[in-house]
Amino acid sequence: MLGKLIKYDLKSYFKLFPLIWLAAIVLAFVNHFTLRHFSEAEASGVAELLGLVLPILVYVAAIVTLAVLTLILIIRRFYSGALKEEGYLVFTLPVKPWQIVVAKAIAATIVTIITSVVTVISVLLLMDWAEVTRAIGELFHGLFHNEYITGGQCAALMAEAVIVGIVGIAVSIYRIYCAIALGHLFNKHRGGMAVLMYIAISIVLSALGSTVVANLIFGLDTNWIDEFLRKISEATNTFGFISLGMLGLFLVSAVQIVIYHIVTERILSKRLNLE
Amino acid sequence: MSDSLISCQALTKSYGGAPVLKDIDLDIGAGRIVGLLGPNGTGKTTLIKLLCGLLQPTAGRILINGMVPGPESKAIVSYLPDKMYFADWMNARDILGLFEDFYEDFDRTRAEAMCASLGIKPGDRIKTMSKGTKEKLQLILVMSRRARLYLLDEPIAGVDPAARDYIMNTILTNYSPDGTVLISTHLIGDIERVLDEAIFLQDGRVILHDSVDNMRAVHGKSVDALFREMFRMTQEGGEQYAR
Repeated sequence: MLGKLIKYDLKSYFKLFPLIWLAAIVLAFVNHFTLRHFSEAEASGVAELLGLVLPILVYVAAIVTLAVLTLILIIRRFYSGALKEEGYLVFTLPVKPWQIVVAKAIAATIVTIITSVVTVISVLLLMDWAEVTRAIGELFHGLFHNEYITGGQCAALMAEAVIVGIVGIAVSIYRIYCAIALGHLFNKHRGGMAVLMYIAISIVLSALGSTVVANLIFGLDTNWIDEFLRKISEATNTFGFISLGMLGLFLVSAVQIVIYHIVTERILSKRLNLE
Repeated sequence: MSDSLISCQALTKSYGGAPVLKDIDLDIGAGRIVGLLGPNGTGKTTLIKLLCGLLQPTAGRILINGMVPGPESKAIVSYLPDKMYFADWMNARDILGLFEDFYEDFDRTRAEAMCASLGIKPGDRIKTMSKGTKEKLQLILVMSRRARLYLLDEPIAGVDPAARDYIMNTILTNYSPDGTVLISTHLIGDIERVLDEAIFLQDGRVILHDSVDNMRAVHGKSVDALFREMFRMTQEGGEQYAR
């Protein structure tokens, strides 16, 4: 049933997103040539300057729109897709509330990953391709052939970075879901209360972060965080050092995901009250 | 009762401390058409939402075919809310596919035939359909399931007489005979002829639950007439029914 829920959530995203992704790629492709053409011309006249600046502005606007649209649709798929009228359909399906939450989170994470990849590809397309190919080649050569880590370790670190990145996307999405679920506890102005809840969660996270940093700076604490950091500093090789850092980032996100999921699932199971 | 399809025991539901359903005991068997009758705001929708698992009881308990509302009970309950629940991205094919994917008892062939009779094509976007067509499509989906329990919340409210006939015919020609249909309404005249049982709700309490034949025999009048008598509006805001 979880797979079917994910399928329908992805379907809802894929009604619109492929067009947007294609537009971002095509726009970058066209701008690549427009920019080359005008940068090679004498940039003295107004027309030439406009020809140079306008495509960049249009492109930047398109990328910003892509990011904002992704965020809005992720919020809508949870807020409207579960807690407004559509909730009458979703919450009477023969599935458990946790499956609904997890399915929405997985679908939104997949869409965000694709959007991120499309954005990177589109930026690379915009640039000088020969230069980009050369730079990427040099970067990879430097990463895989150096005195600090072996090629295998480098590949492992890249895989770790991808996992940490994906978990980072998932935690951002779950934070939004948790705020919307907390807003659902109120009888009125649920949308506004969800925004307030998101701000409240951000303040709590920021305060926790500051406390950890303060403890690090002033050395006031001997708790597990210090212990963990001590292990990182004691790591004898670069690979171990970075891997432990990644593990730290992973755990911080994973703990948050678990907390957000439990709060969201409990509210949807016990306090659901569709308008 | 062991043969109960719906069993409510001391069921209470409050919103923010204000009780909407109070201490309801109710047993409904299989294979019946039951009217859940009462004026607006008496708790009909709340009771149906509790039965289909959209709300949790404040106190007491509900059993559907012996099960607490959850995925297993939802698999045998077909629910028609008083709201349109379609996602705006869907077309008719998408929603038929969703029902086929999630409900083993969904008869897609029957649903497609009913859609075709209304001129609804598989590629039609739900967003562009008229309100009346959307309501009929939702009814088709709900009645194309071979469910054990149909929960229909105000299916004939706010529609013209022709649409009302279509809705009632769709319900009566499609529900599974061994299933129970619970219809909430305050328009009793239109459904009285098809009811086996009626439940009268007032101020969150069940004030009468009996077979329609018994009601007619005991009170010497139609259920519609009885309802009008019990819930006659007064300038003070309503006459209380004396048990």
